Order: sequence, then C-alpha cells, then structure tokens
Amino acid sequence: MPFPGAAGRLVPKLSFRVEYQYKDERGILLPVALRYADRETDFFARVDTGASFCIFQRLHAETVGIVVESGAPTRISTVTGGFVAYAHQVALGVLGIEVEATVYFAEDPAMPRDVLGQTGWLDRMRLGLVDHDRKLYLSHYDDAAEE
Amino acid sequence: MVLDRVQSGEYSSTNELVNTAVKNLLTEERTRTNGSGRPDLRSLELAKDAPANLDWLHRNRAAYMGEWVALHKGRLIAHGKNGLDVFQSAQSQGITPPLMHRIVPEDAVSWGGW
Repeated sequence: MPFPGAAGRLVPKLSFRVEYQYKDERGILLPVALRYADRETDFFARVDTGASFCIFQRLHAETVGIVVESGAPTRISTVTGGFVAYAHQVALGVLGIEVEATVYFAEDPAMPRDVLGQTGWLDRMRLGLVDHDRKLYLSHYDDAAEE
Repeated sequence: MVLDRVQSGEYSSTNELVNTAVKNLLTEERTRTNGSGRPDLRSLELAKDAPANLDWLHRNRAAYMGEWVALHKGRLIAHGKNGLDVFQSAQSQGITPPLMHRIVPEDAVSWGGW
C-alpha cells in the first residue's frame, strides 16, 4: 500500500532540466562528451541502470591522452564472463550536464561497449524515463527537484 | 566580524552562523567531489546532432561492419579498423572532436546488460 506524502500526493512531483527524445530501439543511447585535461572525445553510450560503473572502450581513453594502465585496476563481471578495466577521473557531459566522475576503461581494445552506469553518473543525476514514448528526462541531483 | 553578523540580525546566534558555515563547506566539498552539474553547451549540441548520426549508423551499418567511424552532424568524416587513425584523420579535417563509433555485429542483436 503506497503512503501519501505530506502534501497528500502518493508520489513526489519532479521537474527536470532536459527532455530528450531517444531513437534507438535496442537500448537507450545517449551522446557523451568525455573530457580529460583539455581534450575531448564524443561517443554514444548506453544507459544501464544494472551496471555498477561507467565503462567505456579503451580507444576513448587513448584519444584524450589517458594511459589506461595507469589507473587502478578492477575486474568487471558480466553474464558471459568478465574483463579488466582501469579507473580514471574524467568529466562527463551528457545532455547539457557535466559532472566529474570516476569511470572505467576496458583493458582489452576488443571490448565493444560504452555504458553509463550507476556509480559516477546515475548517482549524480535525477532520471525520468517514459520508454513508451522514447523520452528521457534528466537533471543533476542538486537541481531543484520540484517546481 | 562574526559577532557583527550575529548582532546585525543576519544570524540569530553564533551557533546558527557556525552551522551554516559548516553546511556550506560540506556542500562545496561535495560539489568539488561530484561536480556541480554545470551547464555544458557542447553536449547539448551533441544531443541535437544525435538523430542525424544515429540515422547514418542505421543506414550504413552493414557497409562499415567491424570499423570505427568518425561522424559529424550525420556525415561520415573518416573510417577504418584503427580507431586512433580514424580519430586523427577526422581532426586533421578540422572536426575536433568527431563522434566516434565502432560498428560491431553485437549491435544487431538484443543486449542483455552486464
């Protein structure tokens, strides 16, 4: 049984900074601007609420001058096995909102996925999703939550 | 100076002033750690170009399977098996940075998550 809030509503009413109409039918792809020092690389990454971290392909680190193996290594587990990735501090710009985040770059250049996961991105955002309409709503966590 | 702010009525007590100062300090620290969610015009521009870039990928996927492509506003700027070469080729054509995408067979099947 849901509990009414102080104002008598069952759920809070949220407002967002950005509304984005996504296209991809096999996942939610968002364009990402990844910055390190004064360099930037752009790519699409998949929003994955089940992923613990933001994990990107090795090339994206190399294009901004990051030495992948200089970061702290960690083993990422997947349903099909796992791989090693290295942590680095970067800036992520997504739909007009930039945050500093620790992200992971795959050691293996063959790893073909780019994922926006929980730690580093989702945990800094307020995210709304209406997949039926292919609409994603986004604010930074510190933005005013209610109109 | 601290007492002046209390006496002027800005704060009702030195306790309130200290509490506010500590709260502000923690907020600043959190902002430094997490980023402030600063407005980022560049990634908004990317979002505007995303439909054109995704359309290009949808139309040309088969022809460039296994390659890196560098795109800009729905146009192919460079492509090849070596991603760094593709990135640098696009940069040498004045596109800094291009949108980089690797076309892989897995993109054609359903993704089961991590």
